[in-house]
Amino acid sequence: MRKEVPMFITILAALMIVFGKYFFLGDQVKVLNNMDKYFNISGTFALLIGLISLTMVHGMNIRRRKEGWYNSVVLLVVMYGYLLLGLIEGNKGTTFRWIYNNAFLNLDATMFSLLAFYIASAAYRAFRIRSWEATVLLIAAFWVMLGNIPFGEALGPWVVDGKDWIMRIPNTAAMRAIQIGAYVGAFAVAMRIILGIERAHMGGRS
Amino acid sequence: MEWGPLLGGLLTLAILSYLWKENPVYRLAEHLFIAIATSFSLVVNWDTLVKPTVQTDILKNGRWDYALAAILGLLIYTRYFPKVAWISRYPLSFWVGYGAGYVLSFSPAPLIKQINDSFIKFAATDKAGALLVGSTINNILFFLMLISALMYFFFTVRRENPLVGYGASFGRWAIMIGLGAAFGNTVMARISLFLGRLQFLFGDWLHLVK
Repeated sequence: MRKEVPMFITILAALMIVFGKYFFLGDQVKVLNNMDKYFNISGTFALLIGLISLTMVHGMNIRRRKEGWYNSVVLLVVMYGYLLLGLIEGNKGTTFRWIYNNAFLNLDATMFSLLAFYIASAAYRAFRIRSWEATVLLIAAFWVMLGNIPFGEALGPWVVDGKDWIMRIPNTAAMRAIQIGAYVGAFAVAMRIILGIERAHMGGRS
Repeated sequence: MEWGPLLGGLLTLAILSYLWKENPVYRLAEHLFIAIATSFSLVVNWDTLVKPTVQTDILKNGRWDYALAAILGLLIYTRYFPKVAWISRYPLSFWVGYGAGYVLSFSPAPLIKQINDSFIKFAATDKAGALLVGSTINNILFFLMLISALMYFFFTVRRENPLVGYGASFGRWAIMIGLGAAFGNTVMARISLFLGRLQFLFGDWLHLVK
């Protein structure tokens, strides 16, 4: 029950997808559509796990009066308050959307824009390594950035042509090699799962 | 006074204050971000998936197999009860199996297309049949870079073999240029996001720029 049934469910789910994709009968009885729906429904009903985990972690922070516990109070109050508002108003509700548009979207965009500064500091650290590979990486990055801005175009067509060449030849070749490697890796892991060799998802060693 | 831009502006400044150093205002904004993001995704999923599934699919259309899928999803919560925590492996196994099945069924097609598109004819010619030297060199370079970058990921062949050794070394240079280009594009994207925030602060909020 503890090992065999999960193993059976894993193999059955994988084979059902393969059956739905490659077999005529699977296509006729819409196995893929049903499997997609089962996956979405089971995943959605498991979404509360995030809410429960956050409540447990921040509830513990408050109980133990850890440093910054008042932030945990704010988090729990806002999270449950906003959830309640959404359940009452629906996700198209005026107040619900107002908070989303004015608070969440601004927080989200600013959080990601912060990365511009950390990427710049990463570039500086890469340059301090002073290896030829790091230098080539930074020259390629600098050239691509220069070729994308009006200043680069003003310097001459060779800047944009060079940028296009980097994107078309070395970048495509390298990214394609990485993608092929990733596909082969994912395929191998999927085969290991179907054959029951990979069992890490069941909490044990593979 | 418009309250929306005011709230957005203050939250933007709170997040940007992290550039100075980690401070209580930033921490508060960070916690608000997590709280709103969690509740928003829950409400959207409740409205678009849970409610229609229960009300329409299960109760109205009688698709009771969907109820089984819902019960399977709910079993994940058994992980909070140590004695029956092992039951949470059931939904997890279904999701992993579903993912593995999808990889086996759908990843070969794009993989084969990528490989097929990589074996290009070296000699590039124009409509009159004259050799285009630049394009031909590019085709050869592209092929060499792809093969050598793949060689870099050969971990089952010893690098003492000069072909694999030098090939992998050349491949590493190609990968560095590729990663550099990706790095440059990422920096551009992040900086344009940051400029967007500045436009919001000085335009939409403070009305200092049009």
